Amino acid sequence: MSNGMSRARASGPSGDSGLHRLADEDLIQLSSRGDAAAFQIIYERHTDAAYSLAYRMCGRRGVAEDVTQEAFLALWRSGTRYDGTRGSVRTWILGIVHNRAIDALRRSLVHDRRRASDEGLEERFEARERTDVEAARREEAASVRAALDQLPAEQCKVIELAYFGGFTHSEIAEMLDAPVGTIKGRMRLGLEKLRDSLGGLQEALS
Amino acid sequence: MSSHSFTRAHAETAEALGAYALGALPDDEAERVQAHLRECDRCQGDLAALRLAVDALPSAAPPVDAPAELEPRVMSIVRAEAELLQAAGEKADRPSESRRRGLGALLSRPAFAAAAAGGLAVAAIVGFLVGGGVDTGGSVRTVQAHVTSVAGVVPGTTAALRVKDHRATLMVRDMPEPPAQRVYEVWVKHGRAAPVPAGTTFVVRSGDIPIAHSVNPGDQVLVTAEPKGGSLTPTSSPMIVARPA
Repeated sequence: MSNGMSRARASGPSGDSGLHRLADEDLIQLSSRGDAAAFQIIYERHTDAAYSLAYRMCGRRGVAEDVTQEAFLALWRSGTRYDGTRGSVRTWILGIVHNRAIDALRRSLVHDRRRASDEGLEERFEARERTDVEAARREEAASVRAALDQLPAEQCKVIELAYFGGFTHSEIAEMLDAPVGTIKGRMRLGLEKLRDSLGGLQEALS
Repeated sequence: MSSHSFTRAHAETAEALGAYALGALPDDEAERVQAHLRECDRCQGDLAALRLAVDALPSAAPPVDAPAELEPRVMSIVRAEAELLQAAGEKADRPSESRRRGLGALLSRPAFAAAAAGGLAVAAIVGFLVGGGVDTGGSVRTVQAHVTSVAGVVPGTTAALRVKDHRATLMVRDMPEPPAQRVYEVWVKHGRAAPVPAGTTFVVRSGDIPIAHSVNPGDQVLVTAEPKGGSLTPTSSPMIVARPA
């Protein structure tokens, strides 16, 4: 363990283990050396966000569970690949979840990709606020949601179809009966506006 | 690259960069974008700016609690692999995880990737015990092992362990093909001791495999992918872990 261990920035379950006081970046280092206890704390800190993203993308609980499990096991097996200069551990984990969910969508494990859910919408809002950090993350979520809603509808739609739906630009172009070039333009413009409206939120997220 | 071709690649990348950041490009187009990014600082900067927005998108997903049963399921696999890694020491290697997407998904599946590369075996499947034993009469005891496809390779793979008088049979169904130049090898792990070769290797995808080594209560039966002829210590993470009741 390096002397440069930083203090924890992310929240976690309370516990008497010194590991709980470590930051994600330090826990990832330990996990990459086979420390299952360190990995478990990473899991506990980020599993709800990971599952929420997987469920939002896949729309079915069983598939979302598989995607989340696959993502965390990939994390366990590839912890050495984390590069702190390219974003937070949380961003990295959610990137893995996103890739896994897209793979699941494109493998057609989810037959109805148009966000149908077999469990009802209300379940998506069942999470409870248990800590201040979780409450803060809900506020962040609301901010991002509001920023998305401020986008022109056609830009918001292509971003959501691409990111949460896992569709390629050509699939979206066909779906919306628009040229591929137009879809690409909407994606870039929408992301630029989203970045501008989010402002300093990224620092808080990371 | 000529100035003209650079300019053309730059224009194509600039148009596609939003889709690239969102993961919405097909593989061939994404590869062209990546090639241009390697030589264009301006596009790298633009991409980094777009990623600030993309990285915030997961927060827009309505929060949902992960199922409580997921943690023990994941951790049972992680702890089993941690024990094996510890027992195997420096010789152990972790499975690689390719993240290629889209049409490349097939090649990204570990078994196929390892076969294509001729590289180290990759754990495509991790099994774990989820159910209790099922007495089938006499001294025979069968343990059902639920097998999960980590990379979505063969979702239908199943495994079970039948033990009678310390002799065990591993019953596998629909295993993926072993990677090129590899076989599946069975290990028996006594408590916290290093796993020992069970003297059994196999390549079949479905079948009942008698385990030459005795198996006692408390032992774990593991399966890893190893070079032909087998290994003296595991060189990859376990693909199946079963613990007799």
